Amino acid sequence: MPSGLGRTRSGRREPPPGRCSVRIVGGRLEHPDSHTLERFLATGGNNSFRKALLEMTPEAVAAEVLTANLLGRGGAGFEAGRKWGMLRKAKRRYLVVNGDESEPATFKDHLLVERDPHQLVEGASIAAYAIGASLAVIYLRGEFALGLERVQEAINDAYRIGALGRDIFGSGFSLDILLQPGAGAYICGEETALLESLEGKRGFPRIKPPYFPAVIGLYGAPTIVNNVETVSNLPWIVEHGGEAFKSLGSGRSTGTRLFALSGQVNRPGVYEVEMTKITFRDLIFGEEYGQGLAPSRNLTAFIPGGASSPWFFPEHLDLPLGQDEVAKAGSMLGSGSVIVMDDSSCPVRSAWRIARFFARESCGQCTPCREGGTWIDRIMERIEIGNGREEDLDLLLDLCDNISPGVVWPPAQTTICVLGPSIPPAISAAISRFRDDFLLHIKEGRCPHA
Amino acid sequence: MPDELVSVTLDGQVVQVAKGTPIIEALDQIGVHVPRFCYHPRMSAVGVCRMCLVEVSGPRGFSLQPSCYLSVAEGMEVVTTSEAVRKAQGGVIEFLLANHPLDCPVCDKGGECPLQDQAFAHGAGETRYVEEKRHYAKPIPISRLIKLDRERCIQCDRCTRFADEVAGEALLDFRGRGNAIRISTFSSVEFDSYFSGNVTQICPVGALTATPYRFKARPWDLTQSASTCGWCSFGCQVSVQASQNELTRVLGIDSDAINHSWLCDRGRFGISEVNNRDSRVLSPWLREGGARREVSWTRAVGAIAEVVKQAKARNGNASVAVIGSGRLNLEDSYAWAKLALDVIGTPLVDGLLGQGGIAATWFERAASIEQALSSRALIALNVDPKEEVPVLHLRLREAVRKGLHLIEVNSTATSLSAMAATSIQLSPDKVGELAEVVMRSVPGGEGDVVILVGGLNRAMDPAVTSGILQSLVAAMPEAKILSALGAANVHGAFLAGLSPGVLPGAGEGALPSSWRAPADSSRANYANILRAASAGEVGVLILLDCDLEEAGVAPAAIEALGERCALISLASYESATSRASAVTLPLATWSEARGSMVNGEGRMLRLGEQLEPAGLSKPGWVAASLVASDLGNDMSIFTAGDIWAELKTWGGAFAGVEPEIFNSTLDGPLLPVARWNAGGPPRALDPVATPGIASVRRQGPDFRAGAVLDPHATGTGSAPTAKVLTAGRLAAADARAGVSVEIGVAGEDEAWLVLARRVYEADARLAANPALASFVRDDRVMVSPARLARLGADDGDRVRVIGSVEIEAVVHSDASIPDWAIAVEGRTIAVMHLVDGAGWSRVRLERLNG
Ligand SMILES: Cc1cc2nc3c(=O)[nH]c(=O)nc-3n(C[C@H](O)[C@H](O)[C@H](O)COP(=O)(O)O)c2cc1C
Ligand code: SF4
Ligand code: SF4
Ligand code: SF4
Ligand code: FES
Repeated sequence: MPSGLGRTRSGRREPPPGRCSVRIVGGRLEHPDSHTLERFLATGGNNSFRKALLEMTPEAVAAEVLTANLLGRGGAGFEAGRKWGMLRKAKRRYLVVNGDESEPATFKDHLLVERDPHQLVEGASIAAYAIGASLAVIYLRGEFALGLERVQEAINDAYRIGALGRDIFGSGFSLDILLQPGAGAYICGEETALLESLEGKRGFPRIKPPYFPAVIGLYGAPTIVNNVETVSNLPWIVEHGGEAFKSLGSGRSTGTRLFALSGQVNRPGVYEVEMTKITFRDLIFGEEYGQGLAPSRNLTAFIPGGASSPWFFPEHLDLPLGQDEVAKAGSMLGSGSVIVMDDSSCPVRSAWRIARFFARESCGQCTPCREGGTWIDRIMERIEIGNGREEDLDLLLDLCDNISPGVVWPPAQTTICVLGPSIPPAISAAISRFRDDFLLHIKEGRCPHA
Repeated sequence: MPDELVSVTLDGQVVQVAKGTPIIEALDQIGVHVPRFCYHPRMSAVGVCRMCLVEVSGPRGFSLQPSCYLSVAEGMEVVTTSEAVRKAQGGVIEFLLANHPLDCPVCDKGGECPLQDQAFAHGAGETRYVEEKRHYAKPIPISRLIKLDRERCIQCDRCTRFADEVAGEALLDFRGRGNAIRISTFSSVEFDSYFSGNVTQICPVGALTATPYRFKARPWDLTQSASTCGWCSFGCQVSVQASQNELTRVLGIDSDAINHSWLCDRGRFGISEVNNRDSRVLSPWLREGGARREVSWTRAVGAIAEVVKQAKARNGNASVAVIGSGRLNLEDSYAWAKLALDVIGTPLVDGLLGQGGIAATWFERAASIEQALSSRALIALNVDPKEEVPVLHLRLREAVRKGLHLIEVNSTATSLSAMAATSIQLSPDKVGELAEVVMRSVPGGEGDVVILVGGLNRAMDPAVTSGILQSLVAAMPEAKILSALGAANVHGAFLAGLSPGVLPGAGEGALPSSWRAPADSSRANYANILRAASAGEVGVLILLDCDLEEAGVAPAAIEALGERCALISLASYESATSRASAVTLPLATWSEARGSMVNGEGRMLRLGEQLEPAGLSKPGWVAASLVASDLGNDMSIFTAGDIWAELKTWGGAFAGVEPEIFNSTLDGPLLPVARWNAGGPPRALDPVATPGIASVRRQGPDFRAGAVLDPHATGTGSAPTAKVLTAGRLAAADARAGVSVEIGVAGEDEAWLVLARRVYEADARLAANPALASFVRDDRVMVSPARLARLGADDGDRVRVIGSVEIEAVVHSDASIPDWAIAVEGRTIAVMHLVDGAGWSRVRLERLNG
């Protein structure tokens, strides 16, 4: 077992990122004290921020990020450099780092905030400099107790060593970073709900247009919202340059990504891999990564990009871990969580769990998600416990269609945000692929897997 | 500036629409109705219910978009008829109904419910929902007036948006999330707002209901007529609805010019007192030998004619005096003005409780509400709109949000203070310099300066306000005025000539030869008349719907007055005044007689009729006409139409006023009509925005011309024979009179009284209103911390306030009260009697032991 294991709040050990020819965000994690200021400084900490401040203009930093083609790691995979380029001109601009990570089976940011909080602060500082923000907010999931503690320490450290506050490193640039814990609602990870919550309001996603917080964000000011992992890539990019980043991976999928592997796999964990260079089969079965399934179990399905993404099946195992490759096959890399299901698991139950999660986490603002989500949850529950009817399957698909017309990918929506449309993919995948399982539940009046 | 137009294709039809119009409104304009719930034309769009989804073209082809939230853009294509739209709308309806209890048969909204109506139009006939529905405890009283049924709620965000955005009192909000999201107040805080009733009107289902209306009627059994609220002078447009000769409810009509569909609770729930027969004067009363007994109209009218004749015979015309509160409608006011000034011939007539000087200055330069709200600067003088003309507060909030520059001139903090760009203190020693200070705070630039004048501080004689107003107008000759004076029809009473020194129409128009010139205006003033009556100089004092106790006279003094002279009252409600009167005539009240009134912008508004007058009550003009007949001069008034015909001949404000004018407007014409831009035909009301108006049966046309303007009317107009005081000259006279209104100086231990008007004051009417009576707050005294210290009292101690009467109340220290003032936040009627009739009343405080 490699050294330097992170500990979650519950004390469970988390494996470090898998071995990789190059490590970008996970570079420091081999050290058990990766979260300390000493280790941070001893391993090149703040060199990039210093370089950016003293040797580069904000535009030059942004240009490197644009060259790097750094894709957002929060779910939508939007190029960070392009997003920064859409910022409206204004006196006040804000940076918000999204660390609300609450989707089931998504836990890559968790590792970064606990194990390398200084890198996060440095990355946020570089981003703030590049976009001309003098206030950045790091919004962390409230349940990340250790993470909150460590990020706050890292912020305090940064103030102490002059990496935050007035006139940083004598550059004339000033920056404050605030840490804001979430209050337990998954929806507050959606960037506009997050901004509402920061403003002290209910976490209701904002209706579009405006389409981007870069136009109207926090307190009406243009705001960039970036994921924890996204900004954690910035120190490396500033140090090595955008071209170096782009030379990793291929096509639009550049650099490395963290994948949170979980489910019925022998070695779940977070793995940093160079994009497009390995396949799902490598990730799930590879010796360095998931090490396969329990003996005599067969993989029946896997979810490539978090609970909201359409399911993949054994025929998709040889797809490379690349944004466009996965999109072309009808799903997404999303938040980088890969969930493995084998033939011991009940697909009805799995789909129901996903539906229930989203139904419960709906903000309740718009009708199709509030009512449709719970309705689907109820029907799925009924089928799973043996009270299903055959007509429920068509009903489920029709309700899905009323939330996400056509149940296509990328999803169309009758809702305000995409939380509602996160339900149909699992339901429609389960019904189309595992119809017999559903019918067995209905016929036998019980779950055949129980 | 004409709106910029964009060209859009709506269901294949190419149309030009003003830029920025929501798609849903553009569709309305071409007659395509898209179903909707959360959208309300008077609130910001939130796009949450998703009912109004239509297909809209965009850079990536057509997609389903909420038509209430997106605005039209050049070249946009919108499709409302596609299968995708039909499916999405059907889906939303089905989702909304999934957890809806569908208890329409026992739901107050049943029959006029947007959910019911739109489910019929766009929903499937059958439900596919077989799961258990959501359950909540219900109904939950969220205030003394409103009950909440959470099971019926469709989370449309209308009530919450209203409370927060329109009323500025975010007392309602969502709680919980997902399927468990629900409307809630905050812990145990009541939804206590002057505007709470509006949420019951805009709730598109039966989730929020008004307690006084619950289970009272089915909408299809109601009849309605368009009318105007009669509780203040703002003139909110309403639909008055009744069943079986009882008023059931009042709903706000969306008048662009006035109330934008909103009402205050005083207006909305005022019907409870109309319905309360126990408090009404139901028959004529006569006091004989100390006892009061019911008599016939003939007896009562005969008795009035008799005392009038006797008094005139003994001491001349000026031994009869008339005081009015401004509540009589325009027709009644005119008839009584004619009776008093023309038939009886007394100069002592004040139907405005001393506010005539202000009214005269006002009408020469009256501003419309719209002008005031879009002015360069609005100067608020002695006024708190939230307490005096509540719905103006809502309009003001919106205007200030859009950039209105507000300058407040009040003695203590009000609801304006938080909105005002500048607050200037109205203190007794600075009255002379006030105009100068105010003028300096007015920003330069284009546009009108408008003064909003009210009667906030009851302890300050209206003549003081009038003097200040005149000095402001002298300093800013271009300034216009919007009035917030009370009661409902003070402005109409003024224009009807029921005020010292003014002729009907307030112009120089044709003067019927018989009408004597209004005499000496300085004597004919409420305070002076009262003084004269107390001194025994008046033989008959006629009170037109005016309770002296409410106006500030203590009951003992009213009784004493009754001994000194013959009190004659025309009243709808029993009060200390009606009980002390020698003769009382029962007056038809609001909704019991058709007529009109004039609001504070000078707009003539219709008053509809929904009820038979209670008991033997009659419209005021009928009473005047009967008394006149007994005095041997029938005034040629036999119908309300006669009055209209006569008003027109006076010209001035009434030049060109025909009843037909009401046919072309939702509200009414600004007077004089030349000032009025009628615009296009009245806009159709959106039944989903204000459910309940479209679904209720209309009682004939709104304002039957024939009933008002009688074809047999005989014009009484003839050439003017005398030059009379015009409003302008009256203003000057009032300015001179202002010199005699001494503000005075406060003694060592005295302070100036600030007794601010409140929406809920314990007058006879409110006491008769079971729905609202409990909203009267306890008396309390508020002083500066320094004064409290000097008094040696602690916050919460009981004190005695000594003025013309004495009251006891709890004292509080309040840093916003200037040291020269003692503010009494009292709503019991005794508090009103602290006003001593001087220019500005003064009081002393005494700490009570123990
Ligand atoms: C329901 C919902 C939940 C989300 N939760 C998160 C989250 O926890 N963390 C995150 O970074 N992004 C989350 N997102 C995506 C954000 O809205 C946003 O796209 C992202 O933070 C942008 O950062 P990036 O461009 O760096 O990826 C969520 C989106 C949705 C619709
Ligand atoms: S889709 Fe769901 S989470 Fe998103 S706004 Fe609508 S109700 Fe809220
Ligand atoms: S109570 Fe009525 S107005 Fe308020 S959210 Fe519910 S349905 Fe809408
Ligand atoms: S503001 Fe005045 S007119 Fe309007 S509802 Fe209230 S009392 Fe009636
Ligand atoms: S979303 Fe348009 S009316 Fe509700």
